[in-house]
This record gives sequence, structure tokens and C-alpha cells, in this order.
Amino acid sequence: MVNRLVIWLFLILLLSGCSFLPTNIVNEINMSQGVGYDLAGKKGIKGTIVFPIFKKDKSSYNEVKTALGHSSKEIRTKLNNESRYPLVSGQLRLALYGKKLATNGINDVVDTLNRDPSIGSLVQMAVVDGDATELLKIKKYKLENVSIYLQELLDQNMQYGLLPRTDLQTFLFQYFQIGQDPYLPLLKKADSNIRITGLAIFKDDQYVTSISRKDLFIFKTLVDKNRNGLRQFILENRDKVVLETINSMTKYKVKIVNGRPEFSIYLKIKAKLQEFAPSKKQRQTFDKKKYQKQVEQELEKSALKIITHFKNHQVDPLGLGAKYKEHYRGFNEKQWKMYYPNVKVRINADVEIRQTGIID
Amino acid sequence: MQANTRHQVSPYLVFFIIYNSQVGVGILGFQRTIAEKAGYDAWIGVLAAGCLVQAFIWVSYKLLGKVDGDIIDVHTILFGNVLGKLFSFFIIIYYWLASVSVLLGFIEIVQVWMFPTIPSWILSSLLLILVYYSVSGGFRAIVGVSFISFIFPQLLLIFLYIFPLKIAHFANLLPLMNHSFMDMMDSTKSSMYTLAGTEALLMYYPFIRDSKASRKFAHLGVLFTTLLYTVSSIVSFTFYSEKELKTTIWPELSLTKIIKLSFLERFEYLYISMYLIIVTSLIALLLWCSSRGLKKIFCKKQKYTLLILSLISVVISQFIPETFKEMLDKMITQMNLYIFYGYIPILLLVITFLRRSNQNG
Repeated sequence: MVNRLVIWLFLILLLSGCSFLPTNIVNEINMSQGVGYDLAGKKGIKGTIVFPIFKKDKSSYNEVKTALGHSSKEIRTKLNNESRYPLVSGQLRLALYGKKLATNGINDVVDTLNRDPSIGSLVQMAVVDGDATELLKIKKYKLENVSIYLQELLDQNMQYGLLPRTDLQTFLFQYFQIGQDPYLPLLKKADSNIRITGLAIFKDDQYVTSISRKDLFIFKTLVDKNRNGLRQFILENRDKVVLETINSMTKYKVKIVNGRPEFSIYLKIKAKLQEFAPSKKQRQTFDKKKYQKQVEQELEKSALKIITHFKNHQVDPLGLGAKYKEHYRGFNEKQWKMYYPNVKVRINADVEIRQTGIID
Repeated sequence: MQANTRHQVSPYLVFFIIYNSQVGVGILGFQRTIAEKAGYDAWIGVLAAGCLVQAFIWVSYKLLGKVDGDIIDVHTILFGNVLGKLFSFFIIIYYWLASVSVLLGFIEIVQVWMFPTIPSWILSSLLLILVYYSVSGGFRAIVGVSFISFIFPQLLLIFLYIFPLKIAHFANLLPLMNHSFMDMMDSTKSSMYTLAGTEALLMYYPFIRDSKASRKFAHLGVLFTTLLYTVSSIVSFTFYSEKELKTTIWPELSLTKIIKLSFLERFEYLYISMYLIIVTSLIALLLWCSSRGLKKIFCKKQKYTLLILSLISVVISQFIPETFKEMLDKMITQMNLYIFYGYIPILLLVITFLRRSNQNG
């Protein structure tokens, strides 16, 4: 009998002990879903947090709040002072960085994303050509959740469009990888719309240069699997050919010649014809062989163009250094950095137009 | 000196006990420690360590088969009652320290990942109540928990590797064998700590029915865990870049951050909770070993020795300073290496030699 009593007492204590556990009740917290950081003053940063507010019997809307500070968590604390419920970051899905801040380096603000156990690795990151706060504050998205909108915009473009896959995990991977520099999508506010304008290329954690939307197709083919990517080719005699990739494969081969690495990149693209407009302005059967060759040449040219661009800026988003390291046991980072601006890269494109649609 | 058949378990269950004794919180963070010197060649070190553990299983089966009892019986036969018990006491302390180290490791993970403000003593007492419950059910209950921890969380957790493998960079592992022999030895040594745990065999050997037949299951168990650890390290190595891995404290746990299900945004909460079952069964096994050892040494009831050990564990988990924690881990690694890979084989040699000279004389 006494034993029973002891057990019951113990269980009651145990259950009350469980109330020590901190709880987050969903309508008593503010879940920040998007953050944006900009440079403010010399060393400070301007941080913006977007969180949705749910009201009973009303549609939810977005609250966008901004504060100045020196660290991202200080900004959160400051914003906590003016919000009804505590701000938590477990639902974070978007982090934007202003171009000026990115030029100075974003490592300090990325650190907390990496450190905080409650933040997932699939947070979308992007650089804003302009001001990140302004982008998040666009009036049009007040009622539509801007962070989810942007996350889905980026996701969608990575899956079906021309953006290579990027998120917090890939950024950290590339940032820490020896012989590779990270890249992130570049967004811009155009009138009252948000548009992807290209890709921001980093050197370590600093924004250095960007590539335009036109070069995204070849870049994606070089670093990722390119599926459903669309590209228009205007060929020599002004024939317009629009191809959509079905699948792509890229192989990097490294050869050491006179102690220096030489790269050959083999692009293999299977594509289907989406649009064909010969210059003669009349219907014409599509000559696969002829156009395949011309498209290949076009692709090789544009690949060489962006690689030369990277070499001039001393950035290596393709990870050529990492490939060299895999191949060559005596890899030396300093030596590689010396070689890189003059490294020889050969491109070999192989385009196979599989389908021409339902007409030929 | 076999235990009563009523308390014994079938030989094939040794597979699960061995698996259970080897897998704990170590698997969540060992990737970083093994890669410290050997870089991304360290997974070869895990395989090498697995071979050593296989050898250890062989040695302990030989040793225990000779006396048909546990390590305490071996010690009493060789060194007499007093000295033998003293030696056994050290091994018992090892089991207990190992259980404390697992407990502390798990509490730290829960505090960092889930509930930063919760005091350690609450977590440790909750865990140890569960452990006390299963240990008081006897050895068969512990084997049952081991079995469950294999079937339910472990097999499920292996499937989760699909998510990181989808974006794996297998080229990270190249070039193979690009580190010196000493670096490889270092990774083997650190893998020994994570693969440690098979020592518990020295205590539960008498509880296996038809123990000779169980040897192949023990080897199979070690093979399974070795492969599990190898796969786990390869998954981490292909997922992180090398410098990134070196900054990550629990690579395996951080992996789960990329798992996103439509109904569950943060998967690691579920992951850590599932690990509770694995950790409970491991602590139960280790505490069973140590409490049974103390029972045999001091001739007290196992209930009391278990209670005392659990209470001390709770106190330690609350008051242990951070610096001491690292020391504890280091000490256990050293003890494991010297006792079970130095002392036990010597013991086997001595006992074989003595038996042979006895027969000859």
C-alpha cells in the first residue's frame, strides 16, 4: 500500500517535472520566416525580419520589421522589444543579403544560421541587387507571404528553370570546400516585382562578380544536372532555335601537363526542340545534324566566355580546384591559386536533339 | 558457472546485444574525430578498427570458453579471491564510466538541440528510471530492449541516409589513401572508441545458452556495426566538405537538418527522440554489467548496487564540470584500449599457458 502511494507521488512529481520543458505554442510566438540583411553605416548591419500574423476570422498578413545592430541576434533582440510574442527562428526559410553587405562578406551573418540548431539546412539564400529590406517591404506582398513567395520562386526555378541548386547547405559546402567558391541567386526589385537577374559569385564569403541570366543555362549545365532548362540560340544565318534540355551530364577530366593542370570538360546534353524559326520565314524541316553542330559551337563559346570571366576575377565557382585536388595527390592550394588565372580549359559539347516535338 | 537456463537467452540474440553495446551517441559525432588527422580516408580506419574488434571477440570467446564463466570468474581462478576481485573491480568501474559517458553525451545533445534550459538531473533521472526498470527485469529484459532498439529506430534510421545521399559528392573521397600510415593509425584508434562496447560480452557470456554456437552471431553483430559506422562516415564525408566537417560537432545529427517532410519541418526532434531508445538500451546493458559485477564482488543484492550506481550517475550528470567531461571520454578511450586490447589478450595467453603446463605436469 505504502509502496503504491510512493509510486503515485513519484509519478505526479514526474509529470509536473515535465512542465519544466519549455513549450512554444503556435499562436503565442512570432515565427520569423524570412530575414534580410544590409550594410548600415561603417560596420553595422540593418536587419529585417518578416513574420506572418494570424488573426481569428481574418486573413493573415505579414509584419516586416527592421532594426540596426552589429549582429543578427542583437537585431532579433531589438525587434523582440517591439513585438507581442517572442520571435523564434525555427521556421526560417529565406535569408537575403544586400549587395553592399555581400561585397563586405556575409560570413558573420551566415554563422548564426549555421550555428543555431533550430534552423534547417534548406534555408534559401540569395543576394539582392540593391537593398534587401526594400525588397521584403514591397507593398504588393503585404498580404501574400513574401518569404514563402520568394522561397517558392527560387525553388521552382531550381527545379524547372535555369538556377543551379543552392541553399544554406550548398553554400556552406562550397564555402568550406578547398578549391571552390560559392554562388547564390541574384534578385532584383524591378518596379514592384521581384526578378531573378542572375547568379552572384563569391570569393570566400565576399561577393565579387555576377553572371547574367543569359549565362545561367551554361552555368547550370556545368555545375548541376540541367533538366527542363530552356535556351534560345540565334545562329549564324539568323536562324532561331530554342531548345529545352531533357537531361545533361558533365564530366571533368584533369590532365597534368608539365606539372600544371589542364581541364577538359565534356558536356553531354539531350534536348528537345521547342521552337524553330528559320530566317527564310517559311516552314522548313528541321535539319538535326546541321543545327546540333552549330548549337554545340555556340555552347562551347559561351562556356569559355564565363570561364574566362571567372578566371579574370580569380573566382572558381565550378570547383576546378577541388577537381584538381581529387586528381592530384600533391595538391597545394597556394600553387593552385597561382595557376588558376592561366589554367587551360577545353570544352567539348555534345548536343543531341532527341525530339522535335510532334512535327519535324 | 553457467547461469540458470531460465535466465539465459538464445544464441542468435547475441547479434542484437553486440549491436546494442556498440551503437550509442558516439555514432552521432564520431565522423569528426576520426577525420581529424586522416581526413577523408578515415573510413578505411573504421574498417581496420572493425577487424580489431573481430579479433577481440575471438579472444574473449576463447578466454571465457576456457573457464565457462564471466571475467570475474577468470580473475578469481587466476589471481585468487582478493586480488582477482580487485582486478575485476577496475573492469566494473570501466563499464560504469562508459554508461556515464553515454548518459552525459545524450543529455548534452538534448540540451543543445531540443531543450536548452532543462537541468541535467531531470533528464538523467528520467532516463535512469527507464534504465532501472529494464535492468530490474533481468538480463532477458535487456536483450528485449536491445532487440527493439534494433528493429524500430535503427533500421528506420538507416533509410534516412537516402536524403543526404541524394546530394552526395562522392568525389570528396578521392584521392584514396592520401594520408600517412600514422594518420591512418590515428583514425583507427579514434574509431576504436566508437566501436567500443563489445567488452560487455565479458560479463554476459554465461547468460548465453549454447555459448559456443553464439560466436558466429557475435562476429556478425560486429560486422553489422562496422558496416553501419563505415556507411555513416562515408555519408557524412560525401555530404560535408572537409573543413566544414571539422567545424560540425554532431555531423550525423546535422545531416537530419536537410530532411523535410510536408507534415514535419524539423526532423531532428523526432530523430533525437528515437535515439532515446537506442541510448536507453545501451545504458541498461552497461549498468547491468556493472551492477552485476558489483553484486558478485561484494556479495550484495543487484537491486542495491544498481540503485547506488544510478544515483551516483544522476549526481554526476548534474554537477560534472565541462572540462571533466572531456577528460572522462579520454580516460575511457585509454582504458578501453589498454584493458581490452592489451590486458585481455595477455590474460588469454597466461591462462592457455597455465592450463597446458597443468596438463603436462
